[in-house]
Amino acid sequence: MAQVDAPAAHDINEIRTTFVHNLAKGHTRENSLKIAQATVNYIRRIIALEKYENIEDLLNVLRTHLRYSISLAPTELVVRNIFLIAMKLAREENMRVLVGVDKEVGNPYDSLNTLWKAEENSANASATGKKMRKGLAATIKEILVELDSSRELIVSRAVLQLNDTVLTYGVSSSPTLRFFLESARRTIKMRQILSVSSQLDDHSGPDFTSSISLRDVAAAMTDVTKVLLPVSVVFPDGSALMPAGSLSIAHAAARHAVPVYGLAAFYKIAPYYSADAASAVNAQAGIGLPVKLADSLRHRVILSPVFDVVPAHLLSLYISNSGAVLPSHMYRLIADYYHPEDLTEEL
Amino acid sequence: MELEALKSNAISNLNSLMKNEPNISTGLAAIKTLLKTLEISKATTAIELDAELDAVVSAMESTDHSSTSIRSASNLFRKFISLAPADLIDQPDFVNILNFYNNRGRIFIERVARSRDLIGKFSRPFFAHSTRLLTHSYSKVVLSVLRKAQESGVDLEVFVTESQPNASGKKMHEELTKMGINSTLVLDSAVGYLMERMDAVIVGAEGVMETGGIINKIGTLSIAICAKMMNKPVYVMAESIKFVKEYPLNQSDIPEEFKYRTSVRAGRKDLSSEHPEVDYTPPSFITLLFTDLGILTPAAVGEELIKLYT
Repeated sequence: MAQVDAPAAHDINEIRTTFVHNLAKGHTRENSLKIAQATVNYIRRIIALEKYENIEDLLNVLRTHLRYSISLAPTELVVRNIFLIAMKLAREENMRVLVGVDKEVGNPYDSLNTLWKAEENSANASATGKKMRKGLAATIKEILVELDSSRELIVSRAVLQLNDTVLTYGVSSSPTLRFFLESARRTIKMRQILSVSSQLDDHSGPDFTSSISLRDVAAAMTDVTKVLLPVSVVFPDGSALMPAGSLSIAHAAARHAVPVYGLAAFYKIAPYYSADAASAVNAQAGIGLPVKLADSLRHRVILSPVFDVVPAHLLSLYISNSGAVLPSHMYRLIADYYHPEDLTEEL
Repeated sequence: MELEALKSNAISNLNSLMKNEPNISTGLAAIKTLLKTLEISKATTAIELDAELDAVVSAMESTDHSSTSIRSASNLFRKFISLAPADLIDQPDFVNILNFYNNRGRIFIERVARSRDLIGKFSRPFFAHSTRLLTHSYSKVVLSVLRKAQESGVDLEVFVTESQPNASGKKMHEELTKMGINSTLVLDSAVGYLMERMDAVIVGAEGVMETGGIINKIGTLSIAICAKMMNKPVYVMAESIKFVKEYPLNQSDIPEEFKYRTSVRAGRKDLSSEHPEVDYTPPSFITLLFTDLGILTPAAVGEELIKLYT
């Protein structure tokens, strides 16, 4: 999926169907950068092809498309993040057309030091859809640029040092992690890179790594100096969704006081808290069983979680494209990417 | 008006608000009383007005209502009304400034009155069917949050500690039962026994400190420690007018006036034989705080206070 240049279809319904179909098909999940890029392209087509008269129209159009996508692919939290980022940009574009670039627009978040302010009704004012379309197309395109550069920026954060023994997990499904390790290897001489695989005889890690199985992690941890994990989604409280198996690795690391780093680009920062993220996401994660076997197991519950929720206290640092972020500071980044009114919406 | 008359007025005002509106928070009642002072004030200078407000605040703190809530709300109220544009301060006629303060006060009160609804809205997704909750003592915010969850069709199972020495948990239990929520009254000493079965702990707060920790009814700390030990989340429901610029380091660092009701403290030097009313739960035992500003991590509370007071 995810051609960076989306097919030149001119029917928005067709584009939508293709997008959602690509999200839902297949047993293995695409990497989230590709999903993010595909979502941006999808949004670009929406902005170009849909009809909207004002900002309310535009937000509603985006909301409708978002609802459609997440009802069919509810586990793809990245899609939701990108849509919400686009909605904030749409609101900003509206203000830019209305009041100009120089005017400072107040922080829309409720804060203790703004409680005395009367509610402003500027939300009702709107630029015309025509005026917004061009500017918004340009700003949305900037997300693509930011996405493209995010990997390079994450790699540029020097976390690894001479003689480190690094333990990683999920390298084969996270291009960012692989890229990170490859470029670190070029400049630093590390003692060893251990790549954990969840199956016993699986040695699918890159050839510069040594493969160990998940059950050996606790024993191997005594020699490890750093743990690097890929992140699927980060929540504002600093906890994260990571590939299933990460939680036990993080626990083993905590047992031996080994720092754990998560690689998380900006589009993985989710703006909402989740009471029970693991069951919400994993409930939908069906596994492919042969029909015959499935029939004989009809009344069994088969547990095959895709993600673990790793709590904030087990993580030392997030490496993001904008810098290194402490888990306890993650909530500060929310205001950079999201508008509060988009978050109160029940989707 | 004479300061003494102002004081007794404020006390009767506060008492009648708390009596006649059983659901009003102590903080809201305090700022309503302060607004009343503004409305009738004949002050002609800022210093006079300050003296009047000082008198009213100390009068309110001399009642037996929670000093923590009164102090936090009063501090915020006075901070907000005084955030005036520079050209207004230079006005020769103090009446204009008073009017401006009055206006500010009213907007603030309107906003504060909406707090509980907002908290209910933010916390709603955290309750699912047959979630088992442990709560402590009587808390109006927790009550309104649980009501909201119940109204949206979620069947909760709530366990309420008796919360001695005043058995305020009993009142909580009665209110919950009246609402039709499945509630069980339990002994304070049964918390450890029950914890393994709970899904979460949910408590209110008298005050939220700059550390992100809370001051709340005695016993909250032991429940939170137990919850942490058994890996259960601890959720605090608190309006942002309860944020106080205090930084307690341990239990003995809690200001005396927070720990004992005024009538207990009156004229006594040695309080060692008295039961403290509250304890301090440090932020490390709190998972999230649900406030009208949104869902906050304990670390975010301090930041909000610093933004305001610098």
